[in-house]
Amino acid sequence: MRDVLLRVEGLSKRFGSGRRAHQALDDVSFDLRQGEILGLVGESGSGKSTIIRCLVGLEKESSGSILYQGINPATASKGELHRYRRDLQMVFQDPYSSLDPRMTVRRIIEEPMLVMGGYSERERRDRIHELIQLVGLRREHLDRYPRDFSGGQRQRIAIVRALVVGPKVLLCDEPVSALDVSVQAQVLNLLKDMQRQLDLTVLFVSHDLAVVKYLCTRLVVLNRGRLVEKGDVPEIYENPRDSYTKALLEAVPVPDPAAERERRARRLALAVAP
Amino acid sequence: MKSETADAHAAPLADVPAVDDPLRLADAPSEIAAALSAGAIGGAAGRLGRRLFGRRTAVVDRIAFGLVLLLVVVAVVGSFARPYDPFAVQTSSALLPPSSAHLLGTDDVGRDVLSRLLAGAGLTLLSAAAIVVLAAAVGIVVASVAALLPRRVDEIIMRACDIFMSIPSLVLALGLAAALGPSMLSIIVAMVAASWPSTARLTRGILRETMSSSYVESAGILGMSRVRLMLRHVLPNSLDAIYVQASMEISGTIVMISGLAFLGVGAPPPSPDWGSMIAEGQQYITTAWWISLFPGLAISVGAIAFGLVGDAVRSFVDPTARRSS
Repeated sequence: MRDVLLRVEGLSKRFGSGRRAHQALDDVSFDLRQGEILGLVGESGSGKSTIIRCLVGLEKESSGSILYQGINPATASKGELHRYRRDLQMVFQDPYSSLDPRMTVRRIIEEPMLVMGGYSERERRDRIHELIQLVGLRREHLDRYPRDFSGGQRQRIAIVRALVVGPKVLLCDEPVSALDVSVQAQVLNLLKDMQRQLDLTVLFVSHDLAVVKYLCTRLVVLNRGRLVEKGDVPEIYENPRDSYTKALLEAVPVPDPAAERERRARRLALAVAP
Repeated sequence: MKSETADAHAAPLADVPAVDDPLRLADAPSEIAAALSAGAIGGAAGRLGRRLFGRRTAVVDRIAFGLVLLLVVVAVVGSFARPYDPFAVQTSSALLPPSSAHLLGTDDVGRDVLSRLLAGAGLTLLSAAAIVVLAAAVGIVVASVAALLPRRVDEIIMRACDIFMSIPSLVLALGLAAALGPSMLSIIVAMVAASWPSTARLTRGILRETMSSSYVESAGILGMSRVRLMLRHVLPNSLDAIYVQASMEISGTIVMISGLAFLGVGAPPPSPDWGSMIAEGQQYITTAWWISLFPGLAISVGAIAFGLVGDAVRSFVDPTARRSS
């Protein structure tokens, strides 16, 4: 078994207080192991994005802890926090709102290096040029604005921005759900390539089980803020133990009309029976 | 030009140490200077200008821009060249109707109405612009500070704005101007005091909205300080809406200035501002209508032109808000 890189333990998040409080996360624990792509699955409102937002500090967890290579961001020193922020980078869901519309692509990509510090002007330029070509864009794209690009291209730019400071962990919050199906495959393949080439560990949030099956090695299933099942992808897909996971898997359409018909009939019978 | 601005942005960031505390106010002045020198504001204004006079501009908008341009030219030329001295009292030629010698007639003490109108144009437009710019500046600063501070403080500041806004602005301006004594400066001070809270309120809403967008969050994740976030991402992306607000307010401000001057709290008597000219002609309205009519028309044209420009600016910023007519 590979080393644990990031450990999430008993993570809970409560929004609001009193009777209107909403428990977004309830005692969620899982490990992210070196070099894996871990899928975080659940329907909308299951708390999967909240986990990522807690990990990068956009939300403050109500209780529980995050431990990344001995660093707990809640109690970390400045230096540790700096390393934590460099090592964990995030790709947002919507590439149309995650890039500053008033900045050129070059400045968008350069910004993380400027904020992190420690890069000379030459290093910055070289890294930008190297990465932009790695994701299949060209140098002349650098002086254009986000509005000049398609959704898929924007998400590539967002991926470059996340990778430019050399993170160890890439947190992806539904990075393809805002894209056309045809473009989704390109971006997924890109993520897979990047993961292999740069030896990244990826936490991949998605509601799309087909995407997760294609990309991930292990899976964590969330339902209403609770972790209901975790395990290896083939295992869970073959033999789901939790009823919620079964329901999720049942909802995935099968690309075979006969099988799909049969499955629908079965599901209908199931729904009528009790 | 483009690469220059990029460098100007990059340079000040590079020598700021990366690790930070959440509110590093000590850096604020250099950050502000950086943001300004980088042309975040100037650049946006330039783009706006190109859009205003671009090929795709609608006819109404062209007319509006033309009128405003005309007003500005008149104001500039009028402050140097006029047919007569706007202050020269000449009782022998009092109350003359419009003629070839006095195009817009003369007033009760024989001063040329056209000359006074021209002399007053600069005064009116300049003070309207000053009021709008100052109110916007105060509003933006207050809104930025409120948006940066914790929710609770933000709420307190906004409630204070609400209290200010609950006083009718004309009454507030009237009271303040009366207390400060009759001068153009006191009108400006009073109007700024009366109008910044609404700007602050609106701007703060826009800033909060921009702050929650994911490109701001993504910079925040890196550990960028909130002040730097504000100057680098939030303010530049909120400016469009602030331009619209400001350009909309110019026309109302022109009317308000003239209203205050009409009520006698403006510049003292010999001053040729349009509002007091209407007031001076008031008692002759049945016999010498030209004394009041022409400054009244000037105010209307100014208000309408700037109002249309405000409308045009809004439709540039948000093309979906294009008026349907």
